[in-house]
Amino acid sequence: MSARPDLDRRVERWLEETAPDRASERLLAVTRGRIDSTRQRRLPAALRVVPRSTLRIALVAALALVIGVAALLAGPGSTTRVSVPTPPPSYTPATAPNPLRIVSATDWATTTIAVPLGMEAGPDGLLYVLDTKPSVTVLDPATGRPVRTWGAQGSDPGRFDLSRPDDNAGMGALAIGRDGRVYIADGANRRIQVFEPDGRFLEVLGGPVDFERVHGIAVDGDGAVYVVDHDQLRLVRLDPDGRRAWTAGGLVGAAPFDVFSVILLPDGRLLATRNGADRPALLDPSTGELVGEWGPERVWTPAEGRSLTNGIVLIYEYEPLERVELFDTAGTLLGGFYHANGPHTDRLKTPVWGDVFWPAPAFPGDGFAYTFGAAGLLRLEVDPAVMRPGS
Amino acid sequence: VERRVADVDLVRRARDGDRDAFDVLMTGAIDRLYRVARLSLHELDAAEDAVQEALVRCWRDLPQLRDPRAFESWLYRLLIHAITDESRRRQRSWAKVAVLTTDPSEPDSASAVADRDVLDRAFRRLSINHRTMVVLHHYVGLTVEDAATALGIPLGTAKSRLFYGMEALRTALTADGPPGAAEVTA
Repeated sequence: MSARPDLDRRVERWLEETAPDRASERLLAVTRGRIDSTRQRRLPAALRVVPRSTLRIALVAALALVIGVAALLAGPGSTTRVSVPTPPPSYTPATAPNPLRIVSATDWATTTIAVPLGMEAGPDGLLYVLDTKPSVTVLDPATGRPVRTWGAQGSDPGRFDLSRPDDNAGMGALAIGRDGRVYIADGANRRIQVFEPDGRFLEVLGGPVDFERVHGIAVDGDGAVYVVDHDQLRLVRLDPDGRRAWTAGGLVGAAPFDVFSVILLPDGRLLATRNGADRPALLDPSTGELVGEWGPERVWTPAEGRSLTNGIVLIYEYEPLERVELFDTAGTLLGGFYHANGPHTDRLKTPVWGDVFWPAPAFPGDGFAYTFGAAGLLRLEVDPAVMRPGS
Repeated sequence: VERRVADVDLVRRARDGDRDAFDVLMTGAIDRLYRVARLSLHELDAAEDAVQEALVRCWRDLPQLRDPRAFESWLYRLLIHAITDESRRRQRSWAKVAVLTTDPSEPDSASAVADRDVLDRAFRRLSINHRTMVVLHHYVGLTVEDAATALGIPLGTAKSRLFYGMEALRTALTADGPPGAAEVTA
């Protein structure tokens, strides 16, 4: 007898014994009552033909946009070291000012973008977009038109495989180093590719032996790369020379946790958002050790974000609450953009993309933030009072 | 094994707004949904809230289900989302979660009792993601592929969650050394 089938049998027996017989009549009656008072949500006929994956991406997009706006406005410099807040900062979203307003849009066709998976502003003031074609497209924010593009489907250097087995549009991410180099989390190719801003291929970091599937990436000022391995639910640091420095999170070890995304705080510390309701984990970037938690105690759904050099941190979440929130480095809420389930709703009501932005807003330095929404590439005006608290 | 195939005609009628048809679907599904929720969440009221929420969402969003044959998988996905939401809402009270009581109709062997205690403790230490994966595969009887579809996660993630979830249970059984552990390695 092998150990594994025996374990399966013991677990299955325990589950059978533990499961209750049936739901109560009261539960059935209460549920019937709620259903009787619930109207079915019927989509317009035109929307029923829109792929579900597109709708989902659109939802994600909304949250991403708000977060990105805050990040861009941050100025260079300040690196205040902040200790882990104890107790956690308070959280009152109902009174948080809305920091973002859509002022214009460039239609999708003009941008040539399919479904964006990530967007960052380069030091050249241009927008670098990774999309599902798959390719990197560099957009001029002033016109919304492509300046250059590179990449195609494949596994050779300079090619990408951003496919994924579920019904989401793709898996991959983009980050820009301080030197302008473009880092691509090449999802199903299980590697990081590095390019010059003009698209020239430079190198590959990591590979199948390191990653199962990559979907998140951040690059610090020294060129160290932090990679989220989606399938292993862990975070890996690659030193500037590409060597693995440490691995954090994952499902094994003394203190396992599920990493969803990585955010570099303005003071250099790392945030790892986690699946489930835990507050984001605060990690020591040199060792990967868990040194605390960050942010207010609230329901944390899978979150992504970025930090701005003025100390503001943008967090966006897309399921089930579509929200983009701005925090200071200590985790105190400064402002929020809420698409649904909150006091600020009905920002965007259009087919396909719905109430969403995607990806995280990027800040190319022209005073606006950019992301995608139903209308295409959106230009966002940012409330300076929210973005520069105390100024 | 509780896998079932919903009546496609019933699903179509419910999707078109037939409340009676939906009631038949709901009545046929609520017990197994409740079992999955209770196994995953332990707490009775949390499980009931999750089932209620899943069924309300099911009725509300059913017009958007394109393929009636996918109803079962979709319903499980709604349930797992509701279970996850409930788990998040109640996370701070996990420490107070009572051990799920059972009422066996006949005395168990010492081995079975030990297994149950060890598994119960180990199971409650798993994350909600791993618990639901183990329940869907080993209780509901979904294949890993079907469970991945129901959960809306990549197959690799589903395999990973099942593997590490079961590894945690195996480790617990081995570490606690329950009677019968010897046969695991036999």
